[in-house]
Amino acid sequence: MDCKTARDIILTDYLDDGMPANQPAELAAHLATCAACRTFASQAREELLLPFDKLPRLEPPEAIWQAVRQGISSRPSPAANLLSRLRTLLLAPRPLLALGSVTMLLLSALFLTHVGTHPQPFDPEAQLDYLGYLLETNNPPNVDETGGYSSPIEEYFL
Amino acid sequence: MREVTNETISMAAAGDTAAFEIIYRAHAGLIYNTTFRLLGNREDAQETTQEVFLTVYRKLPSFAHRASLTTWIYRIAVNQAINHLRKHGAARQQTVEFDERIDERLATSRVEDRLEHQAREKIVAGLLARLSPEQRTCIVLRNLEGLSYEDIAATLQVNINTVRSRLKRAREKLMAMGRKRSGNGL
Repeated sequence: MDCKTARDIILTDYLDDGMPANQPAELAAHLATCAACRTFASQAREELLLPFDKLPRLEPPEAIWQAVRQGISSRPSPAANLLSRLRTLLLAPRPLLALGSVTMLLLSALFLTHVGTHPQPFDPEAQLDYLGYLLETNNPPNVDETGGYSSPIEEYFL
Repeated sequence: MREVTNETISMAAAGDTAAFEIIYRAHAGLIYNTTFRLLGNREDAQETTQEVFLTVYRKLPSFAHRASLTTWIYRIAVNQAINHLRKHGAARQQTVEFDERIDERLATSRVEDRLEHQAREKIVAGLLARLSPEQRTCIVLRNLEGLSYEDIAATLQVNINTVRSRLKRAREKLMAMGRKRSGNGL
């Protein structure tokens, strides 16, 4: 054990009698060989523990209880107070709460309306059919009124 | 310290003043002494102790029995005392008073005893005044109230190693002050 570790232990667990099982022996071994740490340990006891020993306990003046009693008698009981705060929180109309509720209602309504008009899932075959229909409607094959094709080449190929 | 039962706590939480008085009587001494050592004068200790018990009364219905009632009350007291120190500390810390009336029982004791006691009170007040509020709290709870590291950690809601570290730093500071006074460097 080095001096730094020994002094850290002296300032905490050694002074407060809280050393783990193996520590007293290790510290004792160090103190047996290190005069500076021995002096540090006895000085620590003298300066850090003795001044606090046997300081008298103070009696709290009765005036404190009188003031506390007066204070609590002028208040509702703590349980009633808690209930009333909960009631206020849940029931009282608060501008922010009201605004939040209205916004949520509007958003919900908007969402539901949007969902109602949403396009059907994509169906490639139906889309191709529809495209074909559009092409056919807007660009009909170049057919003459008699049902024949306008040129011999077209007639041959089509 | 008179034991406070769960039934007493429930009754006090429901507004029973007599039950609350039992809680007060069981803890007032601890809280008054702790706040006196943390704040350094009687008036502030009295005012803070009063505020602590009004807070305890108000918050009692939310006391969840996760810690012991004493630890919970200590926690409220320490938080209020630290807040008080932060708010008024700068001015008052420099003038931590040594209260000559500190123990009227000493009035009848021998002059030598009285002088020794007064000197010790002065030393303790002077030592505590030079520590940060957090360090001072650890020293008061450990050296004067005799709380274990575990109880201090539960009171301050910090890790036990934080308690150990604060105590170590506080004591290093106190020893350095002692060395400065005596001119002896180890």
